[in-house]
Amino acid sequence: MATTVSPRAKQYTDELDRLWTERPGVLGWLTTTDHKRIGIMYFFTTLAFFGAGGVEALLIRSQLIGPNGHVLSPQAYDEVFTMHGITMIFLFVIPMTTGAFGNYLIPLMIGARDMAFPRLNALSFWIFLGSGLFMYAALLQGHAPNAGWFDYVPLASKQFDPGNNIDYYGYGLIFNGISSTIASINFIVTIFKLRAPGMSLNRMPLFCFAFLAVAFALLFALPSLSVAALFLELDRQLGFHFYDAAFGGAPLLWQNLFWIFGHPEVYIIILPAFGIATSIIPAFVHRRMVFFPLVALAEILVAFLGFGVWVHHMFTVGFSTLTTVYFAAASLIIVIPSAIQLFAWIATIVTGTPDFQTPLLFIIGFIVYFIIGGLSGITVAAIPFDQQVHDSYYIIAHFHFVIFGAAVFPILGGMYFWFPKVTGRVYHELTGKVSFWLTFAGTFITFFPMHIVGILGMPRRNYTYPPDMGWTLLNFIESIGSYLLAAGLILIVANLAISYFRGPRTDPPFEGDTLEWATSSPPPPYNFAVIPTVRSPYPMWDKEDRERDNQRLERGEGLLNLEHATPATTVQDAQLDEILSMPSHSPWPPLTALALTGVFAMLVMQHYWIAFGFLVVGGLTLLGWHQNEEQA
Amino acid sequence: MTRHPSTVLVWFGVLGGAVAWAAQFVAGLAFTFAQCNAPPGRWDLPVQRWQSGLAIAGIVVGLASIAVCVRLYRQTRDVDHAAETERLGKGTPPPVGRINFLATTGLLVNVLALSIMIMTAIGAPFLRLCQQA
Amino acid sequence: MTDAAGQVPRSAHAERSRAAAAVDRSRAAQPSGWWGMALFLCSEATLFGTLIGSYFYLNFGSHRWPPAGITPPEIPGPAISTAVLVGTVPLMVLGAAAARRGRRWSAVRWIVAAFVIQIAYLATQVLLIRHDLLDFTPQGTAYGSIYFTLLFADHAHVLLGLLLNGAVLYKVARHGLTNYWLIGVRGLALYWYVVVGITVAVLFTVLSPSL
Repeated sequence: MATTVSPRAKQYTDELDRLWTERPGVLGWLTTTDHKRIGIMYFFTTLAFFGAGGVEALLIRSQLIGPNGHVLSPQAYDEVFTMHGITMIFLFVIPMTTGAFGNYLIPLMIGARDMAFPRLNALSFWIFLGSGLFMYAALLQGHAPNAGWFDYVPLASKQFDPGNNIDYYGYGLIFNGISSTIASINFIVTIFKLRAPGMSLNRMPLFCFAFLAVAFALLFALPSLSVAALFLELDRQLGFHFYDAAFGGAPLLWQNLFWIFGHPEVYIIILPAFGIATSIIPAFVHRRMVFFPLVALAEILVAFLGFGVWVHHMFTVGFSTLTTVYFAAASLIIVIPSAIQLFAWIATIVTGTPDFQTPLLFIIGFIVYFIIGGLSGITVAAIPFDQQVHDSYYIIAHFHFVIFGAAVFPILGGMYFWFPKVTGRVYHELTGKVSFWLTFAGTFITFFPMHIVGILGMPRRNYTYPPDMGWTLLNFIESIGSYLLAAGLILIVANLAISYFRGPRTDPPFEGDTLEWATSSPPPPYNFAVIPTVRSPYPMWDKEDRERDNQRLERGEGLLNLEHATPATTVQDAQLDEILSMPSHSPWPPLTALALTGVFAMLVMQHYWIAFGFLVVGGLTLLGWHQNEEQA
Repeated sequence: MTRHPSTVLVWFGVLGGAVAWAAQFVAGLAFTFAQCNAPPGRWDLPVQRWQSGLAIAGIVVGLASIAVCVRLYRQTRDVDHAAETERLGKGTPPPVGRINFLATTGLLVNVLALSIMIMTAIGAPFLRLCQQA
Repeated sequence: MTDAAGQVPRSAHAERSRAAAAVDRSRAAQPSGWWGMALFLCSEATLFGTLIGSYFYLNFGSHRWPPAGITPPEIPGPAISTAVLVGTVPLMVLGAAAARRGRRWSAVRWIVAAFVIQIAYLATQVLLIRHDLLDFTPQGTAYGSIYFTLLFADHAHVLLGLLLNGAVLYKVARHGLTNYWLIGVRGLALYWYVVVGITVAVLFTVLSPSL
């Protein structure tokens, strides 16, 4: 929001600028602890991985455009579809939502000046980058993981996959999981402790509720994946027998451990999308969210119930009906909190005065795809039907509708929505609308026919198919759809990139109801000159409070300008509790991440003593980290 | 009941059904895995009796939680919320409006948990022991 | 040390024990560092829940547990050493309480006492594991794999605790019981409460064939 400040207010904001501005240049970015810079680094890194995953998708669709394709050999196809899944889930959608959107927006939305643990925040980014480069090093070596993104044993065991392809997967996921665990701890403590005074839990934006649910889900789901990967590597490297039936192990143990993580993971993917939707809808329909408390509760319930449904990915492994009935029941009931949110979004749009700009179009697209994907999800919660379509393209259709359609569309909409706030420029609206329709059409044409071709019997993960199965035309249509989808995505990126350099420098053409819209565009390094007054879940619609903040700035009240400070408040009622001194630029996070990258690189090369050496170096960097008396 | 019910009662109302579901889930799975995944003759557990028993126990707890929520809701719905919000701070009891909100929350949580437990319970007496799905 | 209104403390400025203790008393909510440790421990507890669940999953799927040729574990040695470790919990409680009252050297003494016992515990466990390895190995059976992995994971956390002990003691002794390191002592104590609890759970798990 454009603000003309008095000389006195400018004096105060200049002081804050001096306290909070980080050093310029590459060194500044390397040592940053500013949540906005970290969010931006996450954004561009995840966008690059999205591009890589997209290229992998186009290779798959090009291979399958006709029967008996020759674009990829069978071995290359295995690596490409595996890397596509790993990239999109672990290197794109999770870090884009949590790392980019979450990091940038959450402190702003809650009226804070940074995350609770700024250096830990930087560490989570550098570890994420290290883990991504680690896994792509496998591709460059020609030894990419090749047993699917869920990597079932015994195919992934040493006996059947003797190269180090799977070791990049196993170590890589443990490595990547450290970044997400750290990030989730940071989100929870930030949301609990750093909310502006007056922002009690019931006044917290729904975006923050979604991220709180995501963070708790990550915290409790990741250990299962780490244990699964640990067991896999112990079997492969040291000859243990967790998954080896001949020695009393259980191959199904891998599947159970993987899906105990894997199912909450898909809710972790979708919940931030729910949060983005609940930010965009009120802004463009000019109405409060219908059923606000129910939506908040539904977001938390989805995360909680998501831990009880994992065997629905395993309905064909031979469990007894007495076992599977638990999961079928929970899988059907989990539809209800999702439906509550769906009704709330639709009711809010219908009862408001919608302004169909690009961000809202993407959210409407998200709702359409979430409904279709959700319906196909209900069908596969029925065990007999699932047993017919398991491992077929019907499943691929379902999860691409919910992951691409329902998780990525809000990301794209969010990119448009917050672009003016982050950059201070405006994108081209007509191009935005065209990019939406291209992407929407491309998504539908690519993934809808997969329902049909799956029911016609086409199995997933086959590098080609014969010409007389009746699948040829549908695969051709899907591949054309994928090129259309790629065009839409490229247009989005081009629109935003060109607008960044040449778009009009002006105030955002729209405004949300949360506190990030109270700052300048882009926000200053200190976020808020005065710690905001909050008395409702829609602080930007409380004009008297925003005016009161301006008056406090004039009087020099609530500045916290004696040091690099932000307030800490109580968890439930956000009563002011103490003033925290926050750390600024630090070299230790990238150094620690570098040491950790060395550990995993040496492990995959089986240089165990050197790996231990890097671990010791990592420990030393942590000592350096704590040499000054700053907070974590 | 006093104006400020005990914390234990409030949280039983909110979470009792969910915790009962979680306990029924973990224990029930343990029994079915133990009996049906094990080599024949390793165990001889009365799985269906256990499943039925766990389901009944869970449903009873779920119903009790719902009853607590309904009672808390009725007791706290006619409260001057504005007056209550003034008395916040370390050591003060939660505002009555918050208890009303938690009771409403608990109703939804417990109804969902109860639904899952009932749906699971319907299967247990009728499914043939260890028949593959 | 308080803000301009004199109402809440600027906690980073509490560089002496009594000042840090005063900040600790004045807080209505747990500090961020305490929350960070608590959440990290939730993750670690879940890790061990998964490991213990895997133990019983493999157990339930076996004909015999432990397999033929492997003696069921002995109870006395592991049980006594774990009981001794549990005895360090009151010492950590007293250490954290002393720190919260601003008694720097009292806190250091209690933590050092716990430290010595924890080192003795770990040394005992290493000897017990070496003894077990003479009977069976992790490469021999799935039982061996999960048994040794569970114990190794637990002892790795004990070792990490010892390293944390050393770091916190050094900082408190050398630089004083500042607000930051008072939170560090509280976090350290919380770490040990949970790790000792996990150790007891692991003990019951690995001894379950003999119980």
